[in-house]
Order: sequence, then C-alpha cells, then structure tokens
Amino acid sequence: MDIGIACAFVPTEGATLGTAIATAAAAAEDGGFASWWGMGDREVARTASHDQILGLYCVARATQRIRLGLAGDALSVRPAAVRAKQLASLDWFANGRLELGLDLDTPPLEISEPGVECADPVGSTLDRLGAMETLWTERRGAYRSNTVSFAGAIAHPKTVGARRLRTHARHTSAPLLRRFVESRGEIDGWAAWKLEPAALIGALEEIAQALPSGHGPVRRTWFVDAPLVQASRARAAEAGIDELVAVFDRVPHPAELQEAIA
Amino acid sequence: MSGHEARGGVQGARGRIEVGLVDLFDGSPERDLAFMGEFARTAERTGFDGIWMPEHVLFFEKYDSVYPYPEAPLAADPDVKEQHNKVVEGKAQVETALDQGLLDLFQTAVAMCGATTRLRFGSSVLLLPLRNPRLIAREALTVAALTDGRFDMGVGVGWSAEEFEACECDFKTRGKRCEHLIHALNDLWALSSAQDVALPQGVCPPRVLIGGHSPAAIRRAGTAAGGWYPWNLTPAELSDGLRALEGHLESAGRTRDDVHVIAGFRGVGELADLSQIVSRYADLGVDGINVSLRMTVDNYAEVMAEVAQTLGLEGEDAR
Repeated sequence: MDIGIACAFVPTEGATLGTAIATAAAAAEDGGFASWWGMGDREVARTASHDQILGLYCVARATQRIRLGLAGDALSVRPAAVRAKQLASLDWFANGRLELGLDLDTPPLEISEPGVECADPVGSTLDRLGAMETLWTERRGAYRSNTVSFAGAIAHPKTVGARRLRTHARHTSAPLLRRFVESRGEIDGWAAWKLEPAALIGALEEIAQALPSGHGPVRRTWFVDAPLVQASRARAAEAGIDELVAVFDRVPHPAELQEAIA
Repeated sequence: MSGHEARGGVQGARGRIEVGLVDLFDGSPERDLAFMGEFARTAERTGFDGIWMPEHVLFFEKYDSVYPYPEAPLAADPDVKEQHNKVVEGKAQVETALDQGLLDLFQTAVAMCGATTRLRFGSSVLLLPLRNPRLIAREALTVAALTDGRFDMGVGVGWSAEEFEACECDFKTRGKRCEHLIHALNDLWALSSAQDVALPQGVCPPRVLIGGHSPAAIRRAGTAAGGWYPWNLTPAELSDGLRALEGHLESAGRTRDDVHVIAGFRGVGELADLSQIVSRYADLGVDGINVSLRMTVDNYAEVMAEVAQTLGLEGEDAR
C-alpha cells in the first residue's frame, strides 16, 4: 500500500511559503512517499490555505518522481477551459505526474460565485470534464454540452502526451457516484476523504455497486488525518485500500513526514 | 531610498521609469523551463524591470471577432501609427502561430520570479471576467506570496467573442462584469486582511492595473484599481488618457500617486529608435513602459542587450 501526503498550503511559522513547500516536498520524495495531494476545494474554502495548483507547482519543481493530485476539484464552480489550462500547465511543469480528484457534490457557498446557482453539480462536472479532455487531446477542439461549447479551439499546452488525466471520483452518495460512473463508462480511481473506518467499509461497498460489471480495477485512496495514519494502516490494508494519505493542516516539517511513514 | 530608486535608466516626468518586456511562454519544446529561466535572468541582468505575458485561454482557427490593436506607433515617429496585422474580410486578425498556446499566467509568474531576484512579472493582460472572484482572490494572493510581491496583475476584458463563449462567459456584458470583479477582489482582500474571510493571511495583494484605453477602462483605473495599462497609443492619445484618468482620480478622492501607469506598445521599427517613443511616453508622466519586441529563441539575448544599451538601462552588464 502506498502512503501519500495531502496538506493545506499554510507555511510553518517563520518559513516562506515556497521554501516550506520545497523543503517538505523534497523530504517526502526522499522519504518514500508515493504522492502529494492538494486538498479539495471544499476544505480549502474554509481555511487560510494558499491555492492548491500553485502549491502543487512548488511540489512539482522540488521533486522528480512522486505523483501529484488534487483531492477534490469542484469543476462545478469553474469554467472548463480556464481550469483545463491551469491543469495542463501544472502537468507540463510536473512532467506528466498530475492526477485529478473530483468533488461531485454541491459546492460550498464560499467558492460559489454569488448569484450563480449550481443546480446539477454532477452534470456540470461531467460536461466540463469532457470539455477539458477535448482540449487536452484534440488539435482543434470541438465540444458541445449544456454547460460548455466550442469549435475550432486551439489549446496549448496540452497535458503531457496529450492524455486524459487519471481521475479519482471523491466519495459521495451512491446515486451521484452511479450517475458519474455510468456517464463516464469507467473511472480510474475513487477517494474517501476522512471517512471513519466503519463508514469506509460502507463506502467501498457503494462504489463496488456503482461500477458496471466487467469494470477494471479502480484505485482506492483513503485520506486520514496525519496522526491517524499509523492506526489506520492495518484497517486500510484489510479493506483493500491502495493508497493511504496523511492529511496535514499546514505544510509539514520533514520530521513530521518521517513520523507519518515510519 | 530603495534599491529600485537608486538604479539608473530611463527618467521621466515622475522619476525613474520601469521598463518591461512583453513576451510569450507557451510550453513548447523551444521555450522550455530552462529557456524561461535563462530568458528571465538575461532580462534582469541587462537591466529590465519586468517581464509581462499576455493571456489567452484558447486560440481559434478562425475568428469573427476583430483584433482591436492592429496599429502600433512607430518607434522613430510615435505620432504616426502603422497597421501590421493581417486583415480578413475587413477585420483585423490577431497574429498567432499555427498552434499557438500560452502557459498559465500564475504558474509562469512563479517560475520567472523564482529564476530571478529582482525582476517583476505581470499579466498583459489577464481576462478577469472569465474568473470566479472567490477563487482568483486566493490564487492572486498565492502568486504574491510565491513571488515575494513581484507580481503585477494587469486585467482586461478581452476582444474574442469566441474565447468568451468557450469560457462560459457573456461577451456583451464583460466590461460590467470586469468592474464587478475588481470591486469583489478589493472587498475580499480587505476582509482577508481583517481576517473576516478564509483567505491566506499576511500577504499584500498584487497591484491591479486596468488594461485598455476605452473611457470605461480609464474610469475603472481611476476609481477602483491600482493602475492603468494602455496599449499602442500615440503620445497625444496617451496624454488625453492621462488627463481623463486625473479627472476620475479626483472625483474618487484619489491622487495620481495612488495609481501606477504603464504604457505598453509593440516595437515597430529599428531598435535604435526605441528611445524616441520611450522618451515621449516618459515625458508624459508614466511610471512604466512595456515593449513587445517579438524576440526569438535565437536572438533574444542580443535584442535585450541592444535595447538596454539604447535606453541606457543600468543592468549588471552595463556596470
């Protein structure tokens, strides 16, 4: 089972933001962590964290190997083309290491544009993900949906290799998950954000039921508060979790990382 | 006196003028990360104050929209403008490569400032109406933190209806939306400093400059923003704009010292003649001048050196 990190991009006292992230990221890679995740939009919205894309940019520049991910991107509050460029640029700086976690629930007020109601977050997420993938993969992008439409669009940079990013659906209600999976046909990963162990088992059953028969393996990621990582290892292995992610409320000190992976 | 004031270079009616370069970083193999760093360090070493990059989220194979800046003042005779862009069916077209792209502005800002120690980086200009204010408020504070305050946020309303439609934004009301977003950002950043909203703490927001020279743009600059950033104006047009700006500043209870004015232009003509247009702009009382020189991967270092020498910039290479 892989061990990853997620954190709010708040620097440790006395350190500048860029230095704190670079130091921690290098230590994480040297220490054997598999990934570094930015927190989800709904968590960031209620904290003083810096922006996740720019925080991950700093991680990307300080590392060579570890995977980078967003733990819960709310596409329902962002124009697809704007987000597509931000993600493709980050992937370019990271040399193709970016993965995308998606938050399918109703976005919190703190990040919703005033006066703009999101009646169907799953629908707009599906529309915008499709639009982004078109921009990443097609030389002249054409796309039409209820949310976003374009034709003859030239988008550069593209994701490295002009690929679709590996996507992880963040756990939500069974009907929403089912709709997302059915519309997409397949998903790469599923992620549970700070679920209690008992709830995790139920959530795993829900995602298993949401997958169509014959669906290939789905990577399962479980985010837990950093102090709970050691206690959660056995439970995660037993439940078939592929990656356990330690969540810090600020950029961790290298010593804290060692503790989490020990 | 700050180190900035102590340095020499172009002098104008309001003191030393910041001179910036406008160029593109597109994620192409030719303009990779190593190139970007070397480009930034060369600009810093030769005495330039900043690098500015345009924004387009998307380009299009075909435009019905008219490119609004086809004419640029001549370096040798800035009272005269020449048109350089291609015209199709009576409509001026933007000049782009066949597969044109641009990296994300904010990540590029962090990369370029990370490669240098003094150089500023600016957006020339960011399409503000395409953004969710509650998200860009945080992003801009993070750029400010990661560049040690060396980021300037030029913002504008764009010109491509194709781009706005693809970015899910109404083209016709983009000016009004831009103004709304400027106020929203000011409010969010003010609340942030009072710790009333969950945004990064202890970071000074970037200076916001309004791009363009329409009456509405000048009004926004004078009443709500930290600066004005017109493009491709003759000295007479710039003078008129500055007079209008003063009027708006006065009506808003502000002074000329409350805003930073940068005049930008596409360099047309001989590099040796650039000092003429630069001195005309400088005499009118701008704080900065940005020039787009269409430099190539092969000639940028030579061009920067020649322009620096022509303008008397005092970079390390001149000392």
